[in-house]
Amino acid sequence: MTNSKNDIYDVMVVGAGHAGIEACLAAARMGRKTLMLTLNLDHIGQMSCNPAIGGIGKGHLVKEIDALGGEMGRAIDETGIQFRTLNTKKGPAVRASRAQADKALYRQRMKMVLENCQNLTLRQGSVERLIVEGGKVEGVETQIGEQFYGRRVILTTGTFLRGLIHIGDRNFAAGRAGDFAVQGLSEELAKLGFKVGRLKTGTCPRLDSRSIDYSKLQVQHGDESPAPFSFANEEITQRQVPCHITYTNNRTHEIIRSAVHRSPMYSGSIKSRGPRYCPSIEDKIVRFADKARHQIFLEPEGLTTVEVYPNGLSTSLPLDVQIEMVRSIEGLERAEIMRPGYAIEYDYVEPTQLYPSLETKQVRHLYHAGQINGTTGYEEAAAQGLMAGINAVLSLRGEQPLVLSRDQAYLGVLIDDLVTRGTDGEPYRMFTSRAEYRLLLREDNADLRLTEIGHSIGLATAEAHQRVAAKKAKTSMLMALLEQTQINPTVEINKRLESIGSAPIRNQTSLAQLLRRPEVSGSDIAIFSEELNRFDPEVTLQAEVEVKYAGYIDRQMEMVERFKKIENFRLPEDLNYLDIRGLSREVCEKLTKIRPKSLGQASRISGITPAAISLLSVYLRKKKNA
Amino acid sequence: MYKEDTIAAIATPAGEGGVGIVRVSGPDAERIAAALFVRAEGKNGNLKSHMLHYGTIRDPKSDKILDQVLLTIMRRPRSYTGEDVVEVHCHGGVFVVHRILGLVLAQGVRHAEPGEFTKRAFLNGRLDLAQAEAVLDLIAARTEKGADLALSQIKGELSNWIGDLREQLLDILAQVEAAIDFPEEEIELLERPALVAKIDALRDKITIITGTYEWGRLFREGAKVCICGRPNVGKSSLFNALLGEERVIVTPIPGTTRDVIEESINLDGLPIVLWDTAGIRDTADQVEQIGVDLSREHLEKSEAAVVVLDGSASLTDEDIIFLSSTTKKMGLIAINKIDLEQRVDRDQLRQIVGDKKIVTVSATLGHGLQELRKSLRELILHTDMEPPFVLTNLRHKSALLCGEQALADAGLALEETQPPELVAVALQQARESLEEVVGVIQKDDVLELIFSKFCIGK
Repeated sequence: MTNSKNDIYDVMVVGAGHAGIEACLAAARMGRKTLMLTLNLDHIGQMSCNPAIGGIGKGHLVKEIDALGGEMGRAIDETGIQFRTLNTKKGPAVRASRAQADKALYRQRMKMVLENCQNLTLRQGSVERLIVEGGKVEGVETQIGEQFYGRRVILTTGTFLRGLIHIGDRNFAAGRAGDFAVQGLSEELAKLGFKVGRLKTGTCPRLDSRSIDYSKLQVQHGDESPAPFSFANEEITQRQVPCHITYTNNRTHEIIRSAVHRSPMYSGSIKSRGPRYCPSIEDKIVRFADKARHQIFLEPEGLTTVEVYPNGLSTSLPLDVQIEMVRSIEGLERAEIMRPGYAIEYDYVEPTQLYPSLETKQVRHLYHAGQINGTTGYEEAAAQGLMAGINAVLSLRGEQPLVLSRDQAYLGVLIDDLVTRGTDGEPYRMFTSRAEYRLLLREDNADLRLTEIGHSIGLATAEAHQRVAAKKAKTSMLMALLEQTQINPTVEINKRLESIGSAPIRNQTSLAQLLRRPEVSGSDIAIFSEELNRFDPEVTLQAEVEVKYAGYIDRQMEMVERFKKIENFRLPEDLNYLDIRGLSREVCEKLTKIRPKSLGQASRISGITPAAISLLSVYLRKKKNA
Repeated sequence: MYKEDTIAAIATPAGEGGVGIVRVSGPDAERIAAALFVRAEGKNGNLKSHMLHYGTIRDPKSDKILDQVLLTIMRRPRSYTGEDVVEVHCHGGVFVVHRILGLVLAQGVRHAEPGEFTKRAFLNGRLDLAQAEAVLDLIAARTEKGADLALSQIKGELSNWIGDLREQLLDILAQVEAAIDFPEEEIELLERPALVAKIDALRDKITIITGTYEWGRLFREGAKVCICGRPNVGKSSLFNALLGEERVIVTPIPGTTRDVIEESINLDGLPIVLWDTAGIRDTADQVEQIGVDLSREHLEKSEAAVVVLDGSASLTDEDIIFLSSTTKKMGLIAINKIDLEQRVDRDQLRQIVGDKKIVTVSATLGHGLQELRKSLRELILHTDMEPPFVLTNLRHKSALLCGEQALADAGLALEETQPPELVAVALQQARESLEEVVGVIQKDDVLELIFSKFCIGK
C-alpha cells in the first residue's frame, strides 16, 4: 500500500503534539505542501501532564514562538481558564506568563486550526520505519505498510518511542496512559547510526473534583485582568476559574516513607534519571527529609470536566499507596483517584547529533524536534517544532537555516544548549538562568526581537510586523516625553509621591528620573502627566524597562559584543581537527563529534578548555593568512 | 592527537650544581633514551615508566661513555607536559650537562624555547592558567622565598583559594537564581541582609589577597631601599655592614661617596636592591653636587628609605631639613654610632619623624643590625605576618579587583532593594572574574546547586 511517488510532500511531520503542531503550521503557512502523521487524530495537542502553558522561562518561549508566527500563544489565550503573571514583584526581565488550560478545548482548537490550514494534510498512522536512500530521508512507512514520500521529514515523537509506563511493580508499554507506544522506530534510528538513550518522567494521579472538600482550602485566583500571551490579542474572553492550594503533612510523609521501596524508582526497575526540577513526591520526601510539608496546587483540567490535577503529587507508587497518600491530605480526605499517577520511560535521540538547524548530522533532510531531543515541557517542544518547520522550508528554498543566537532569544539558548552540550542524561527544561543575557531576553520585547525575522521568512503576518513598528515608534515618543517632562517640588506633587510610597523631591525632576526609583512603577508615573495616559500599557512597559534597566542593559550589550566576536568566528565545515597541533585526543574527538559552527559554540562544549579554544583560533588565523 | 615535535633543554639552573637535568619531551623522547642510554644491569628493553633507572650515557658514534646517570621516563599523559618525557639526571657541571644535551639535539630534537615545557603542560591540560603562570614566575624568581611563593601557587593554592571563593559565590548566586526561577516555592529564598553579609565576607577575603600582590612583586623583583642622610653619618659603613663585606670605601672625610652604589641583599627571603648614596647637603663642589642630585633621584625611586643619623652628634640643621623633607616617604630612622656617647635629642627627633620607626645601630661593631633588618622587612611588607599565599600576577590581581567591584555592586543592589535579576548580573560578573583567574568555566553549576539545596518542582 504505497502512495504514489508523484504525490510527494514538501514536509512530513511525524507526531501531532506541541512540537508537531508548530512544525506543520510553520511549513504549511510558509506555503509548503505538508503532511501531519499521528497515532491518534483525537489526541492532537494533548497535554499529557500538567494542564498549563507558560511559567518562568517557558512563558518567554511561548512569547517568542508567537512573535515568530507560531500558534501556541494564540491557542492558550483562547482556551486558558486561569492566567497569572509570575514574578510581578521582580523586574520585567523575569516576569513570566502562565495559564491553566482547558485541556479538551485546547485540543479541539488546535485540531480545528490544523484542519483549516491551507497546504496541510492530516493522516492517522503509526510510523515504524524511515525510507532512507543514499544518506537522505525520502519517506516514512507506517505499521500497516503505508508509505508516504516527502522531501523533508520532521520527527516529533514525544515520549512514544518504546514508552514504558510504571506504576508500583507493574509496567506496560504505552506512549502515555491510554495511547500505544511506537516500538520499531527507535531501533530503526539506532540502525541508521543514531545514539539513542533513555529518559524518565512522571505525572500525578487525577482526582474527581466532586470528592474534594474545598471549604478548608486556600483559594488561588488568577490575575484580575489576565494578560494574553499572544501579541495579537488584547484581552482574554474565556471564563476564568480559581485553583486551590493544600499541603502534604507528616502522615503523608509517613505513608510514602514506609512504601518507598515499592516505587519503581527505588526498587530499581527504573534505571534512567528523571528531572530534578520536577521530582516525584517520593523523591521530595526522601531527598528533603526535614521539610515539614510540600505545597499541592489543585488545578482544574477544564471547564466541562471534573478531573483535577494535583500539581506536586507526581508519583509512581502502587495505586493503593497513591490512594492512602492522597487521602491523608487536607481537603482530599475522601478524594477519588480517576486515573493513577505513573512514571514513564522512553527513548530519546542524543541531540548533539543535530545541527543548530535541528537537521540530523547522520541523515540529511531529517529533523528532530521536541521530547525526542531529550527536552521536557510543551513550550520547549513547540519551540523546537517551530524552528524545525521553519528550517525544513528554508532548506527547501535553498536558503541558510534560521539559527537564533543566545543573545537573541530563549529559542536560541534552548537549541544551542541541546546541540552543543546535549541533555546530560536529564530531561532539559528552560530556566531563565540558562540565558547569559537575561535582561535582554524579556517576554515584553519578544516581538521587538523576533517579529521582523518571522515576517521576513514569510511566517509572521504583515499585521504583526506593522504592530511592532508602531510599538517601536510609540516607545521612543514616550521615552522623549519622559526625559523632557519636568515636575517641580510642589506640595501637590510631593503629596502624590507620598501616596505611592516614594520620597518627596526637592528640585525640578524629570519623569524619567522619577521612574528610575525602584519603588515607582510605569503606571504610577501617569498621575504626574495626563499625556502619559494615551500610551498603551505595553508601550509604557517598554519605556519603564529602558529607564529602570539603563546601565545594566548597556553592560549586557557590552557582554554581547564580546560574545559576538567569538560567536561570529565561523569554523569551516571541513575542518580536520587532527591537523591542529597541540589539541588533545579527547578535545579532538569532542570537536569532531559536535562539529561546532563557530568558535563560540566550540567553547560551550563541555570539556573544551580555554587553551584548546586559543589553539583553534590561532590555527585558523594562521590558515587564513597563509 | 599529539602533533608536537620533540623538544629538549637543560632543566636545572645555569652554573655549577650537584646534579644537572636534561629534559626531553615529545613523541621521540623514548627513542632518544633508547639511542643514548645503556642500563647498568640487565637489558635496556622496555624501561618502566615513572622509575629511576641507573646506567650510562654513551655517544653512539664513538661509543664513548659520557657520564653515569639516572634516567627516568614518564609516559604520557602522566608527565609534566602531558607528553612522553625523559629526564637524564647527570653529574652537575656545565660541561657534562651541555655535552649530553648536545647528544640529544644531534638525534634530531629541537632545543626548547623558554617556557615551552610549561606551555605544553598548559595546552595539554596538565596545568591550569594560574599554575602555568606561576611556573613562569618561578623561572624568574630571584630568591628562595620567591621560589616558595611561586611553588605554592603551582601546588594550586591560588587555584584552591579561588575554588573556595567561587563555591561561596555560587551559593549566593544560587539563592538569587532560585528566587527568580522558582517564585512559587514556599520559602522566601532571598534574604537580603544575610546575602549582603555573605557578599561582604567574600569582599574582605579578596581584599586581603589582592593586598599581597605587592608582596609577590617584591619577592620577585626585590624592593629598592635607599640609604640616605647628611654626609659623614656612616651610611657607607651601614651599607657594608648590611652587605657583610667591605664593598664601599669608608673614610672619616665627609662626602667620600660620590656615586650611587647598588648591591643586592636578602632579608629573610625578601630580596632587596640596596643603594648607598652620597650625603645630602648644599655644596659648591660641582662633582659633589652631581652626587647629591643622584642621591635625591634614587631616594625618589626607592620603595623605602633608611635615613641614617649620627648618634654621637646633636641633630644638625642639615639633619632636620632632610628629615622634614622625607616625612612622607616610607622609611625608618637608623641612629648610627650607638657605641659612642649619644647626643641626639630623641624627643625632638620624634616630633620631626612622627610615628616612623627608630632603630639604633653601630655599623662598625655590627650592633643592632638584626633589629634593623627585621624592621626593614616589616616596613616593606607592611606586616610581620606570613600570608597564606601571595598573589604574584597582575592579571590575577586585576581580575580579582574586578570581582571585588562586581560584588560591591551586587551588595549595593541588594541594599537598594533592586530586583534580583539585577543583583544576579553583578554576581555573574563577579563569578566570571574569579573564573578568569583559573580559566575554568562550568556553566551548569548554579542549577546543580539549586536542585541540591532547594526542593524545587511543584
